[in-house]
Amino acid sequence: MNRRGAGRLAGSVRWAVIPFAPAPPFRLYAGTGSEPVVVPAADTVIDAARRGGDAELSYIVPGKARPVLILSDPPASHHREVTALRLLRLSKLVPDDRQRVRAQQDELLFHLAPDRFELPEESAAMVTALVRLHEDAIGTTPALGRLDDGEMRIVGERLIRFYGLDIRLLLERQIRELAARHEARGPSR
Amino acid sequence: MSEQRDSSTARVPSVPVGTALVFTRYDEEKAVVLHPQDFHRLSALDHDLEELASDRPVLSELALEAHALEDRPGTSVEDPEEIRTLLGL
Repeated sequence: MNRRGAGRLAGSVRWAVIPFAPAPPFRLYAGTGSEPVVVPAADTVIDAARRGGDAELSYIVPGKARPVLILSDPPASHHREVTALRLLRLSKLVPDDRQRVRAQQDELLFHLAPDRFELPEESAAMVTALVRLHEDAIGTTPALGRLDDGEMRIVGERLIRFYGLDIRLLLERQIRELAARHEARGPSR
Repeated sequence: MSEQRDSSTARVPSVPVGTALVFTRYDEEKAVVLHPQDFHRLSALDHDLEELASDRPVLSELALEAHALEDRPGTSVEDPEEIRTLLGL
């Protein structure tokens, strides 16, 4: 049973716990009786792994509870990670830029209209800020709002374009399928 | 990619528009002859598809600013008492 009871996660805006991307200097947890071990550069950890060490270390990474736009549903019961976009709070922008976002004039920022989303602040989904999170890191309270299928298609298209995913073969296949379906229907009158 | 050859160097039959002439050898397709009009139409489609599939937006000033505003972690609360109070534990 879905513990949220509110349908799909994909397309909804919800609270979740989101860590920042780890960056040096890394702070490694070293037990309760000791200060964290500080590692200034990634190469120190990578070199140790390349020498054959397979030790798993606990990184102390800052994180925040924040609303996100969830893009996908968990693929399987044993693989419960989803992808989401972080949000930009419009109050942080100058008025002109705020207006540009509201008018959807920047394709990398998808405006979430305040009359449809119960967010603490007017926000926009950042197409360039893709995050991966575990389903259990998402709050159990109802969604703050939801994009419709058409809006999700727009976000999906922007993601594909921004991340440079090569969808040529997919496009070709879909064009062929459409053509075959059209042909099967026979000549249009 | 296409390569041009003078038609006097090989015997190539004429093909009407909309027809592809497939040459086989030992039941395997070896070459296909098309009418130039069909070939250019397919080349143009291929070019359009390439453009559709590789059209990447530039990272705008505004999107960059959004990252500058939202990506930087602030000062983490690391005092155990303060954390407990904050979370109501």
